[in-house]
Amino acid sequence: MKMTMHIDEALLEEVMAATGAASKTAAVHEALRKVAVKYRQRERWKRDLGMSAEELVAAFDPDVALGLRGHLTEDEPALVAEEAKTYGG
Amino acid sequence: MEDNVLVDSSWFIQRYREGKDPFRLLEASDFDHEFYSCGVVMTEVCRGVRNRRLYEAIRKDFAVMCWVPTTAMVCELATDLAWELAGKGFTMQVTDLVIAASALTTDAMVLTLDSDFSRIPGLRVIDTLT
Repeated sequence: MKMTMHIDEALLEEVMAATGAASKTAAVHEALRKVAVKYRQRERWKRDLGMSAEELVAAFDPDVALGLRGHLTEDEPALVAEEAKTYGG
Repeated sequence: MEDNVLVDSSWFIQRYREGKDPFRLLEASDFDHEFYSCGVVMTEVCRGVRNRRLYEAIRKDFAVMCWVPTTAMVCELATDLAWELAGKGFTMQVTDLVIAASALTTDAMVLTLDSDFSRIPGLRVIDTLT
């Protein structure tokens, strides 16, 4: 969309330097995008799930989420392969 | 300038294990960061959800994150990292390699509890939001 706007020249130059934008249009776009993203995230994430801590723990299975991935913290060592077993014979 | 932060699955999973809503924690942080995600992180986190209502909420929570598409360039970088690390005798999970490559392509730090990420050359790793 093409628009005519009055923008503080020094401010725009500062935004161009901060964002690394190659043009004034790109700088304005990037500044607007950042504000929109933060607003969108803040509005979404401030919602209340309506679940207690215990309910949240019960509603999530970390083992399934982790799949074959290793450890989460140093207190919880990575899964290690069991020793090879000999079957039959 | 604010830093971009790609939030790894391990950080989300640990928060749920503690009974804390990770997205509320991101929202409550100082917001000097721009939070990124990628496909494998969302997939890993969401498959652990046992409850449909929570699943749908988390999908919406992920939807507003900045997204790093898993492009051919990301896959090629992940492959290069895999080969480089394998040459040093370390085999890293493919999902982690994709996450690391996604972060590197957006110049983002990785927020993770997985110390394996510190093996990635040039990757900035943090374990808290402070």
